[in-house]
Amino acid sequence: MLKYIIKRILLLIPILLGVSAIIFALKTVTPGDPARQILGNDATQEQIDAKREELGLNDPVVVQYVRYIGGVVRGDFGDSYRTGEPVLKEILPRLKTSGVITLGAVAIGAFLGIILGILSALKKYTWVDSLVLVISMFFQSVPEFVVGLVLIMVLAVNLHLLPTNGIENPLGYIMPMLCIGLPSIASYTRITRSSMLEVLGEDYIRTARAKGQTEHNITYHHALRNAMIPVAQSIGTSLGNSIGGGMVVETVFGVPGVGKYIVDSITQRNYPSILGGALIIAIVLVVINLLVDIAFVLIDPRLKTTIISGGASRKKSKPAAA
Amino acid sequence: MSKMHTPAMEKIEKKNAKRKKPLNPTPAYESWKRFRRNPTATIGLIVVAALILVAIFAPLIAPYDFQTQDYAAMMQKPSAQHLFGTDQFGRDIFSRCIYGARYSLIIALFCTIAAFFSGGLLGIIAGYFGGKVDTVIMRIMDIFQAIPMIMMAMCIVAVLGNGIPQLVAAIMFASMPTMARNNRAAILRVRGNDYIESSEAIGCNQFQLILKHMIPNAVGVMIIYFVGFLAVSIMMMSSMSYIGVGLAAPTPEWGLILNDGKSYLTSAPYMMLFPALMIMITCFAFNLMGDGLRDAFDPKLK
Amino acid sequence: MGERILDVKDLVIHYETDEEVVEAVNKINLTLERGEILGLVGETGAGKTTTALGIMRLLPDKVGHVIQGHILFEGEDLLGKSEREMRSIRGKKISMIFQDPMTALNPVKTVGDQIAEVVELHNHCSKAEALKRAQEMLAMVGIVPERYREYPHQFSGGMKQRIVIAIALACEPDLLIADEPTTALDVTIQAQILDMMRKLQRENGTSMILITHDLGVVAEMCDHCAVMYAGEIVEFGRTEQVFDNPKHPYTQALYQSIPSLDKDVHRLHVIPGMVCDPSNLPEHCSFCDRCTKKNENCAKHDPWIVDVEKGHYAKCFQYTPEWEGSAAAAGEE
Repeated sequence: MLKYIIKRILLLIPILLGVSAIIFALKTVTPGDPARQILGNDATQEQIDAKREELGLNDPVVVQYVRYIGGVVRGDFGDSYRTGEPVLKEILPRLKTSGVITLGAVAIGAFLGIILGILSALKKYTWVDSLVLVISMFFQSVPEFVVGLVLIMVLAVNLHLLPTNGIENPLGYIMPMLCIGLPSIASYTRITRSSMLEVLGEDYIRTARAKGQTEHNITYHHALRNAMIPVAQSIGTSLGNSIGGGMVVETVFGVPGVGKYIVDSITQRNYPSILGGALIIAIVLVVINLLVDIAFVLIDPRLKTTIISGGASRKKSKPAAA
Repeated sequence: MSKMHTPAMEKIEKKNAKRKKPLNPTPAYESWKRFRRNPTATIGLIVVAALILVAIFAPLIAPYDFQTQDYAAMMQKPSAQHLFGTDQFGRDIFSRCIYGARYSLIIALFCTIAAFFSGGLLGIIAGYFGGKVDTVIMRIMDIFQAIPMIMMAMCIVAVLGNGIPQLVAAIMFASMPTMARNNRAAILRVRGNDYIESSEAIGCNQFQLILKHMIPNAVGVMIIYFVGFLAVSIMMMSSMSYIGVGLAAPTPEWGLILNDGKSYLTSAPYMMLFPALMIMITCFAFNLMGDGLRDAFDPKLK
Repeated sequence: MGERILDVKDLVIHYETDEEVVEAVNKINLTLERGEILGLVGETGAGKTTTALGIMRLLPDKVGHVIQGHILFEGEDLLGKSEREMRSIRGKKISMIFQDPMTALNPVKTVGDQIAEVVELHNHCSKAEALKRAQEMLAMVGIVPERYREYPHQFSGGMKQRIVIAIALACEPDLLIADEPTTALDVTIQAQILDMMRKLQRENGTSMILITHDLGVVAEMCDHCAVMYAGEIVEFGRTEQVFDNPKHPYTQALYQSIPSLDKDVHRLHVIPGMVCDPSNLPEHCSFCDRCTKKNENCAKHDPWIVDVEKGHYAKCFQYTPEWEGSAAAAGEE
């Protein structure tokens, strides 16, 4: 197991190198001079030249890149062009805010989605099934920021239940969570429904019926745990989407999270901050996917064998034939 | 007499008697039949068709030009003259929404085609050739996937600047990993089937194999992704425009119209209501249609 | 003659979908004495499994329908029972072993839990007692009891089938329905499993319906034998009667198609033609098109069941008085 975890963490390295290379490439082709950006329009040419030298901008791109990676290894993600503060110091407190929102959103989306999915699987081909499908599909069709606008209009402006923006009040977390969570319902519903239907058609469900087990216990003790395997696997992907959605939603609600930080950095062409943000998001995503994978072993005992034997397959492994 | 007659049998006999047309059992026809039987999918298709008509005939439908400013009629509530009201420059929001259908649909179509020709093609290549080609392509896609789609798109717009071709490029790049993954999976699903192996065994060449066996079998799934991605790209485009990294004013793109109305959320909510509805209806219709297609092409998935 | 444990009368089961009605089981009659084994033979699609699921009342939801008939189990009609009453019968009085042991066990539960589940449900005991019983059952089917904490994927196919049998027998049922219990297993394992099943059946005095398409298995295990074709029982009798003196042309053809070790033949004997479409059964004898002994009556009417000797029935015109007349008539023309 430990070997597997180490292997997965090592796989993170090429991904991080790749991500930073992509952003670095974008940085070098972007028009505009960072030195001028930092110093403002009043700066003299000498000051700019000095700043360029200080930032190492005159070196070849490859040298700059290697120097940056060297810094990252030591935990130095560079300094923000805008504030001059170390990027890591700026991002870490925001990471907590974004983390709370994202986890809340995933919890909302997964909870509602799974419930709706079970409901529509149990009532398959009835009007309940169609209604669930249409509802979840509707939420999927609404961009996060539109959900946000509607929520602001209804809950904040008309009913004065929640603050319109900011998170000074803990209630401020609720709307961003809903905005990211509600659109993700559809994918959970669909996966839960189809995997539940598949599992309910399995032979072992018939075995349980032949034992005289009640339908209720068959659904919740025999089927659900098996049906949750693909659903849990989809949480990893969904987290990636939630982080992306978080960038828009944090901007809409003025929440000081990583997402808003990156959006601001992009509009200000503040490359060290973009790079730092992208790398940290990539690390978080990979680590969460790893945690999700480890959690599977707890749900699906078949995986323990495959993982320990080295075949780190994320696919649903069929029981090995005799 | 062993044969039993039951009400269910009579019902089917009646149905068969009613069906005068001879059955046309081609897969495409069967899919179409399944699609038509699905009410939500049919509604989606009708709405999409209506939107396409609106986009084509926008100049005939829209009562005003989308960028004519009329300072005599600023910030008006919806009325008979201005169905959806006017914005802070006195522009007719109804007309802007109608022209918005044109921009949004065309840009979405371009984005989707571009995404299919980049990410989709990479996925097909990876899936078809397998082995090292597959590993290399998919590892690169893993890297791209570690950057959230919308962030990638925003970075690209930051580099290239605002504009329609830039936006298309941004969405294309951002969607590459997802597209590649989906199309690769579609090809692999077909490739793993025994009939591919058996046609190889009877001496089909690669060209015939791809043209006659793989494409017809994978095309259903790809159409589903295509329709689904139209909705995704409309949503991404409007999100980006809304936070100011998409298209530039005064293009009547729905996200931009929403961005215009942002400051008047409390005083003039109608300014945001209608463009938001347009986005919702369009994406909803595409998604309903896509879901109907999913059931139509692959009834086993349902 | 012992006590009659199961009596299936005029059972008709259809599968109804929007497109068609499949006549899976057509007016079958079966009887089973306590402590005996009844073999149900027939090719794929003959309605053997449907009959079994019908007795268990486990036909697929919404699609499978019992159209008519009675299933008397210990004198009571199962078709009249409520779902609740059925649940207390399933697993306790009637158990079933399914065809494919690979998929019949829940992959995320330990085998001990899965055996204990049925004990807990019917014997109303504590979890610990149920687990103890599960270990006893494992020992009984020849698996080290300590392995009760393991998951199904850690067992081989033959072992899994032993576990499935342990589940089925855990509550000492009166009737065990085994649906092709050895089809999915290796030939060498098949014999082991069958031996074990027969041993356990004798020890517990369980009555059993053994569904199979393997005539050898029937000859070895069963007291009675019923041959099914297109949803009908075409021949029924004591195993010796059916084997030594097959009456129905289908049964006869089946025996001919068994490869023999003593005779040197170039090709195996096959029954010509195909089974008729179960969604479009003919009004006349359903074996008529493939029969070598047919006459014009067969293509017009459905034969009825005839007593050929004591306790041995066949569904064929050959044994009805009319046959002689019509055959003679055919000869004259």
